[in-house]
Amino acid sequence: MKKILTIATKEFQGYFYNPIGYVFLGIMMMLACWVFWGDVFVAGNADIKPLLQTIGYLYSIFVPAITMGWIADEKRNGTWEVLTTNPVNIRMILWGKMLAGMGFLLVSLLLSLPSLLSILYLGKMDLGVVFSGYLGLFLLGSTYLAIGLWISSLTKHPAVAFIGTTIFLVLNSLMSQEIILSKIPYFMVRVFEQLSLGDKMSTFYNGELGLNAVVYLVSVVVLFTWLAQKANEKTI
Amino acid sequence: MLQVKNISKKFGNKTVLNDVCFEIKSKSVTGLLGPNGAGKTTLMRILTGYFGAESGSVMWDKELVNLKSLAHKKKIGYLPENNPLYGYMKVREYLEYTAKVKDSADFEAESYRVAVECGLIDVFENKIETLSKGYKQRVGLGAALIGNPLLLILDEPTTGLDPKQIIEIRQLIKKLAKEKMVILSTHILPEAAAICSRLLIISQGKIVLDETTSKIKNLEKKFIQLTS
Repeated sequence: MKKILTIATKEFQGYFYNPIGYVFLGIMMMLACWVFWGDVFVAGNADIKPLLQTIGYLYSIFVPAITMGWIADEKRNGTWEVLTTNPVNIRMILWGKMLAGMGFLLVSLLLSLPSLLSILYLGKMDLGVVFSGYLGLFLLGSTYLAIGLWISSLTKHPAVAFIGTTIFLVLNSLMSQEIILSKIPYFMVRVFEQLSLGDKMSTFYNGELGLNAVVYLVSVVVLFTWLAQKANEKTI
Repeated sequence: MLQVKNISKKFGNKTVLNDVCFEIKSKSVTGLLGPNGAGKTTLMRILTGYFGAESGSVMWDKELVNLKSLAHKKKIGYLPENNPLYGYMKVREYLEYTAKVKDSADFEAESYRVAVECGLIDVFENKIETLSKGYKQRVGLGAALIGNPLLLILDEPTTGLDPKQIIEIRQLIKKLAKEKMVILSTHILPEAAAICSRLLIISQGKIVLDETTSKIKNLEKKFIQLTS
C-alpha cells in the first residue's frame, strides 16, 4: 500500500506540472458555473441535475485526456522500463495511477462546490441529491479512468489511447440514449441498458444510493484495472 | 556470485539469445560487447526482469532466483539505454521518489547520499529537463544506485556524451565497481578496454568470448574476427 501511495502522490503532483491538468480544471469549473448559474438565473431553477449531467458528459472527453499518457507515454519515453525494473509490481503501478486519477477527479468536483454552497446559503437544496449525485459522478469518472487505463495499456501512442478511450466512452453513452434504444430489438435493449455506464447514473441523480449501481460501477473499475494489469504483464 | 545459465530468448521465430552462460564472482566491471542487434540489451533486460526468457536460469550465490520477484529487483540497479527520466521533476524529487519505491528506510538521507556519490549536489534542486546530458546521465546512475544494489546494469551509459562527460562517467563507474558488480554494455571498443576488467563478446545471441581484458592482445582484431 505504501508503494501505491508513493506512485499515486508522484502521479497526482505530475498533473500540476502539466498544462492539461490546469486546462481540465479550468474548463470544468467554467462550464459547471455557466450551466449551474444559467439555470438559476435564467430558468429560476436551482436544480443540480443539469450540472451533474454536464460534468458527466465532460468526463467522457477530459478523462481520456488524463489517462492517455498513463501507460502509453511511459512506454514511449522508456520510463516504463525504469519503473517496472524497480521493486514494484504492475498492480501497484496501476492502482497508484488510478488513485492519483481519482484524487484529480475529486479536485474537479470540489471546484464546483462553491456554486452549490452559494445556493445552500441563499435557499434550499436537497442535500441527499447533492451527495448521491456527487458520489455517482465520482464513481462514473473512476470507471472512465479504469477504461482509459486499460486502453492506454494497449498502445505506445497517447493519441491512439485518447481517441480509443473517447470512442469507447461515447459509444457507451449512446447505449442509453432513447434514439438508439428505439431502433434495436427488445432483447438488445436490455443488454444495452445493462452495459451502459450512464444508465446507472439516473438513480444517483435522483438522490438514491442504489447499492446495485454502486457495486456495478466499482466492479467495472476493478475489472478494467485487472484487464490493464493483464495487458501490461503480457507485454513484458 | 551471479550465475547466468543457458538463457535463451526468441522474438517470434528469431532467436535473439542462444544458451547464454556466464558468471560474475566479485566486485568488478564486466563489459558486454557486441555489434548492434547482437542481443546485449535483451540480455540486460532479462537480467533486470523486464523481459522473460524462453529458457535458462539466474542464480545468486547458488540460489535460483525468480527474475520477476521484488527480492531480485532490489538487488539490481538499472540504467537503460537513452536514460529515460521524468524531466518535470527536480533531481531531489526524483531520487527521493526512487528511494521510496525501492523501500529505503530514510528516503531523504538515501537520495542525498547518492547525490553526493554521483556529484549531483550542485543541481539537487534543479529540474531534470534543464540539466545537461552529462548531469542527466548522473541522475539516471544515481537512481540506479538507490538502495545500494549488489549488481549495477548499465546499458551504453556513455552514449551521446561529450568527451569530458564520458571521462567523468567512466571514472564514476570505476569508483562504483570497487563496491559492487557492474555489467556494462557498449559497442565502443576503447571504452570497454578502458573500464572493464573482463569482457564478454556477444554475437548473434551467443557469447563468443569470455576473457579478462588484460589477456586480450588485440581487442579490435579479435572483435572483428569473432563478430563477422
